[in-house]
Amino acid sequence: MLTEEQNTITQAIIWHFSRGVSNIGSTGPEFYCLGNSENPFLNSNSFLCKSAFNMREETTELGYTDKDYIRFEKLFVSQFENSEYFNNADLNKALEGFSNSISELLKLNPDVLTMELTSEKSVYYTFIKNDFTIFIQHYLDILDFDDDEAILTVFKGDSKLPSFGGNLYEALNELKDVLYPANKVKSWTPQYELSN
Amino acid sequence: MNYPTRILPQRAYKSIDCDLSSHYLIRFTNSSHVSEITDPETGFVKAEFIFSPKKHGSDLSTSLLGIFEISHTRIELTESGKRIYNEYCLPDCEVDVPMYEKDFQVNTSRNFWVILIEKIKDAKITFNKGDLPFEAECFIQHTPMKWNYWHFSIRWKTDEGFWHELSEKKQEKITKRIGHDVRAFISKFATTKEPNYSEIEEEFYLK
Repeated sequence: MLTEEQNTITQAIIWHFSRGVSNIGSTGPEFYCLGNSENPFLNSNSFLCKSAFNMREETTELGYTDKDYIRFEKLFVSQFENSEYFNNADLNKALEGFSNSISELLKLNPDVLTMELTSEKSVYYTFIKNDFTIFIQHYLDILDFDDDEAILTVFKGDSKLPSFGGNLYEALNELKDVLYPANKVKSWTPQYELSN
Repeated sequence: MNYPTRILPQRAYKSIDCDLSSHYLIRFTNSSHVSEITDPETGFVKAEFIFSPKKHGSDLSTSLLGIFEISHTRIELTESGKRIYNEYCLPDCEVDVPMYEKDFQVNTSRNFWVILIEKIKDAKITFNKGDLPFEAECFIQHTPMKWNYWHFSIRWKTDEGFWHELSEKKQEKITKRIGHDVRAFISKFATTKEPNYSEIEEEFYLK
């Protein structure tokens, strides 16, 4: 029986390969099954095996779908275009920064995840999982900020835990440490791709 | 429309320094639509309706809910009214009653959020960035103004002194460190729902 943390990491690996993030062909067959329950040819039902069919329609084993990603992306674009704070900012560049944080946050299977853009040219996320409520401010790498900086404010129940500031990936690792303190795994490498 | 004189400083009033844990602070929002102010999924007040860290984080204006009622959040000073009434004063300062339209107007496009003082008073923020740990502690201070005796400030004390009293350069640095934290803190505990509230006992504000 896998722990939740192990499960998340293995699911992340599946996600990593199933989207063609890595083009290392030798590892692909370990994670793909070219069949499914209705069409069992080549379907070995092996551990961690995932059907290559209907990949974009079904929920990933991480618990979110491309639809979730697309929904957030649309929300971002809509808020960006209607925001007075992002005048003269490059949407594509902002979207690239946004993609870096939203894709990682979705992988952590939040119970609730919401976002809004702020006057500080940042994305302000509210991430709820179990009894953690985490507010994340991701300063987008546009205009007057040097790097992708992020700040985490963490509550367990009503108790405030120490906050953390750093670059986005340090902050995301800190978030994973908060959610999975026993393992403190600095897990998968950051992804910069957009969902197509 | 007559100004609610009970919210003005009076000769018989003194500074409030009693324990207010069970009372609420209230602040107006620039939208009257609750659906716009709160996030429908979390129920939290949206960050942009709490305050802008750059403008208000170090010294956030609120009022003590009680004699200062929810409807009073709609009082908006005019430009000339601001010149006369928008300043700190002693609690027993005598002021002329503001005149409708000349000194104030009623802004019906406002709503409000409230926060239970117990949730935020003495709150401590610990912030880590690299090897630079940083701490700030919340203070709720009675800061009467000429238009509103019930004006309270949410302020934060750092190792270098009160955030709002630091030099502009230091304030900017701290704003970037804890501005988000302060706003998130309030967002977690604030609500747009009218709470059950009461006026504080007279002995705590009458001389």
